[in-house]
Amino acid sequence: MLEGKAVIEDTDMPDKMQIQAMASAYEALDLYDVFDCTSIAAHIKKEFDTKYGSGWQCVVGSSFGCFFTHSKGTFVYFTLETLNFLIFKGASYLI
Amino acid sequence: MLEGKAVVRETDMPEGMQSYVMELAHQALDAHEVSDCQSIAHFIKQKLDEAYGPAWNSVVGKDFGSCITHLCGSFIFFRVEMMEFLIFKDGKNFTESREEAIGVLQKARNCD
Repeated sequence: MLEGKAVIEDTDMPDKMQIQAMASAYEALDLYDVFDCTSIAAHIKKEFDTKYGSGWQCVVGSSFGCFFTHSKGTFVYFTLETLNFLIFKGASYLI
Repeated sequence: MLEGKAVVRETDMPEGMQSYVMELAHQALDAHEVSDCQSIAHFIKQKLDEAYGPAWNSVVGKDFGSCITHLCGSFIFFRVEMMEFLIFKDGKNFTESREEAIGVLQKARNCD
């Protein structure tokens, strides 16, 4: 288990949801190798789809940039050890 | 300018749209530093929002994994030189969407 502390870089999420995001990340890192970014991302996305409804997007990695449109109050970007985590719900799901 | 040819890893996009997206990637790589992933991603998303309507999402980088839900017919994952591109659009309802897990696994990393 990685003992590192998660650091929030940017977010507009409620605090409870942020905590859930980091908890899901810790869970995923317990289950999967740190290099298996796809499985880590899948684990987190499924957690969020289950808890907060469908349409979540998750990107995990050590080297990426992206640009996206998200629903208000559903975005968090944080780092944990060597990885960066981006979680957001797509804009269309409010319609 | 990167002379590399784009290699499509996975897609469900119509071919015309695929060509347009890859053209945008080449344009973005001409206009921005290869290390400026965010500007490249921004450029691509902006052009696609204009051409095909919002809301597109764009992920660019060397090392990432993701799990997304996208509108059918609006997803592409490809590589140009050492950069990976994931482009997709959100669906408006669940019956039109599909879940994809996309990753770039680089265990032996020769960065920089």
